[in-house]
Amino acid sequence: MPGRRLVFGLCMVFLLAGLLFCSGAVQNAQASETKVLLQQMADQSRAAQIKVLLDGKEISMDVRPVIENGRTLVPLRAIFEALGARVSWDGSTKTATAVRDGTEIRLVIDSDAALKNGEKKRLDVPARIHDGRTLVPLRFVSEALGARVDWDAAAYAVIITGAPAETQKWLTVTEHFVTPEGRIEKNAVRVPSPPKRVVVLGTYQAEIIKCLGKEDRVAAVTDSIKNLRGSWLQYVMNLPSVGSASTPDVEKIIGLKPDLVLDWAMKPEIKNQLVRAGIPVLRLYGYNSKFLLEEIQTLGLIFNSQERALIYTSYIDGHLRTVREKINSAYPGRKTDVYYETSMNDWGSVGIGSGVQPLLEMLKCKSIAEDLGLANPRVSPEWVAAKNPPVVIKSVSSGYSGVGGKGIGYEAQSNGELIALQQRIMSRPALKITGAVKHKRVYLISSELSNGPRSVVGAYYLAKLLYPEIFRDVDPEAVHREMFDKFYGRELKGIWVYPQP
Amino acid sequence: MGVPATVAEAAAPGGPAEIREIYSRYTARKILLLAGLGILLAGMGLFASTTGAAAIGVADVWRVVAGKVVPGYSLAPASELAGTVVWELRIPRIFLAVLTGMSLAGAGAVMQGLLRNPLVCPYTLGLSGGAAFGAALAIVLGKNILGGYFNIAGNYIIVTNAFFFGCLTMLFVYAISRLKGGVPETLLLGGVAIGYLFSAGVSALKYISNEEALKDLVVWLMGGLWGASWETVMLLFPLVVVCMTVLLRYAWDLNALGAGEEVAASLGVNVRRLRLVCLILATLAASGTIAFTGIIGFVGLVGPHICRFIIGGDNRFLIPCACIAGGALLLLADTMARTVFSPVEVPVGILTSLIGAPFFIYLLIKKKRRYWS
Repeated sequence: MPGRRLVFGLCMVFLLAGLLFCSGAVQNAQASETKVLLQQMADQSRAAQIKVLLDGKEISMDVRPVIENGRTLVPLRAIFEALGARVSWDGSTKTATAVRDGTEIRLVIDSDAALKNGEKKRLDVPARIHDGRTLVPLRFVSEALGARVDWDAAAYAVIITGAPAETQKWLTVTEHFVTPEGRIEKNAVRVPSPPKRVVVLGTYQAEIIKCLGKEDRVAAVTDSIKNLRGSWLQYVMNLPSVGSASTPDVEKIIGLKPDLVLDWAMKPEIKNQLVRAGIPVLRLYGYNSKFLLEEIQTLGLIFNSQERALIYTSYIDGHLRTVREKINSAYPGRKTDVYYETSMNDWGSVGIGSGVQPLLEMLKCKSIAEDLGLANPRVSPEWVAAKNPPVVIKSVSSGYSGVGGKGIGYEAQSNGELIALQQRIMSRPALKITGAVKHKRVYLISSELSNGPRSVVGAYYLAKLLYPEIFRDVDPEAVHREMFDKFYGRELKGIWVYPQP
Repeated sequence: MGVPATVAEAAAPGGPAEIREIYSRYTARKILLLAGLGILLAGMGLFASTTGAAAIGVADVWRVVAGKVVPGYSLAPASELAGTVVWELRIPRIFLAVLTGMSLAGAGAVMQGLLRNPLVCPYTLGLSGGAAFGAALAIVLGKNILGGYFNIAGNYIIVTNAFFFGCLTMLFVYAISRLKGGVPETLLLGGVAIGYLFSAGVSALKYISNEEALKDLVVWLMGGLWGASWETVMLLFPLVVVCMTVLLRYAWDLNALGAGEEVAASLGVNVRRLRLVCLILATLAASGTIAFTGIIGFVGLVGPHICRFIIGGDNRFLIPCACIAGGALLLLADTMARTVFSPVEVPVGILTSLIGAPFFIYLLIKKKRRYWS
């Protein structure tokens, strides 16, 4: 039966051909799948290296950018905040809304439709959730907000330019200027708001700017700021220094092209040079309790972060109020004489006009040198002996008065140097016979806490040392820890006061 | 004492007996003047011990001092405050002021005589500059190198370094002048040059130092006596007294040198040795005090000149006179520094010049005779 054989043969041929074809197709399919996978892996690994530069500055992101279909997806919050947009998130509709300068963008997760000012736009790649973060297409959102996006293949970087058309305007703010005689003058100063590059000359200013979250605007600091705050205020360590606060390097400042200089002790000649060069100089002490809160609010206003300034000042104000009310209600009429010595030199005391005087007043203490007509008089030892103060408070700054760089403050690990300093103070002939030494009421406190924003903590410490009976339930260290955590984003360490109440 | 008598006999007309009488009257007057100045200084010291920011009665001051000085004296003891203020604060400070004034003015007088130049003083010879550089080096580098340990031994290091560099400068300047055969001008110019070199060094250290070190440095350079304590006084007292006493023994040789090196040599003075020994002694005394007090100008230069007006150029009287007057000037200045704006203290350097300069100018105008031969 040749016919059947033929049919069978043909069938076999077809079958074989079909099999071959099928296996080929399968192989083909497998190959293409592998290719996609490989591509994706490559995308992922390369995406890990992608940099997103905004006006030459890299945007830091907590989640790596992802490449999908040749489009880069970036974390929503990072990109919008860098572009200066306000972001809100509606969980029920899975919609992210960003607003900037009157432009509103709405993106719905996993939807390729987006709205720009209510007008529908189609996305090549939808926004999606990846590792618990919302990722959005970089090009679309940047361009929608008016920025230009370029791809630098060599640097493997997305370059966004002209991004946050942050409108800078000029503000007139009030500065408090303390004259050498201790008088407070109020001056009006015109400053750009928000400033883009600020030269910061004061340690307390650097601290406040960190609290306002505007440390990225600081262009340069001083040696002192690095020495005194570098251990925990780390952003200052990566910045250039312009020298000292009183005689900074004018050429260096001008070369840095700042649009604002924050000063507290600059020589008038140098200030004039800067003003002539067209750089506004604003005086802010940051350590004078009398107008500290106003100064923080001024900085908040200038930097456009009034909200944070408000949280910060109300925190400080609230705690100060607590201390004041507690002492007032317990000892309404009391006044304790203290000999307060500055960290700078032996026998240097404080009077009206000094930064710490309002704090002492709040603690119902009176500096024995209060009425000498000078903010920082250097007094005669025998006079102090004759005044016989019942309390001695010494402000201690690392590097001064015989205490090394790690003797007090964030980096201090043992109070050995403070014990030695207290011993030295107590064995000074003029102090030996005072009530303060006889009753061992010689208190050492870090100058970081006796002045400035954290003087709240200093107030608690001193209040507890002076009036242990009414401050028994208060833990100054806990307040300090909270401030560090809440405003400076760091864990508290170190030794700040001696003896520990 | 034989040599000057013969010189006087040979130079002056009239009989030897008459001259001797005139001379002894002349000397007696000077000795009287010295004694008077000494009493004045003592009086000022007593006055200074009774004045100060702490109101302590004169009787209390006496009681404290008598109780400490007179053995077995046991009157009703004064208050603890009076005891501490008078005995541990005022008196060491008075002593330190007097010792510093003495050593600076005494050293100035000797140096002026040695180099026969009215502009010489510890300052112009580079000594103060050297000491300042030593202190600056200790303050700036000490803090950097030793860190926390510097705070424990810091003061000793500053003092030792200031003293060491003060002496080193003098030796260096002397070595330079020896190369040129010990000509006084070379010594002076060498000193001025070294002084500038060190002040450049101090400026450089100021420039590179951070603000903390700078502050300490500025305080040291300004000078002051608030560091006074019995330990300091006990250390400086023998040094200053020994140096000045030995220098007084060379007063005759210095007088001879005043007439010229050849004359001195012909009178048997070993000029080179005289220069070396006197320079070393003056340097030791001046460096020692500068190391503790910081730079205090004016006293070393003008103190001796004021004394030349008062007592003449005879070194036998000039050196003790300069010591007493220098001590008195600095004591007066320091007492004013701590009392004028009491209880606020003023840097003493401001007052030494403020008191001394007008007085010196007054003497310059009033005296017609050229006092510097």
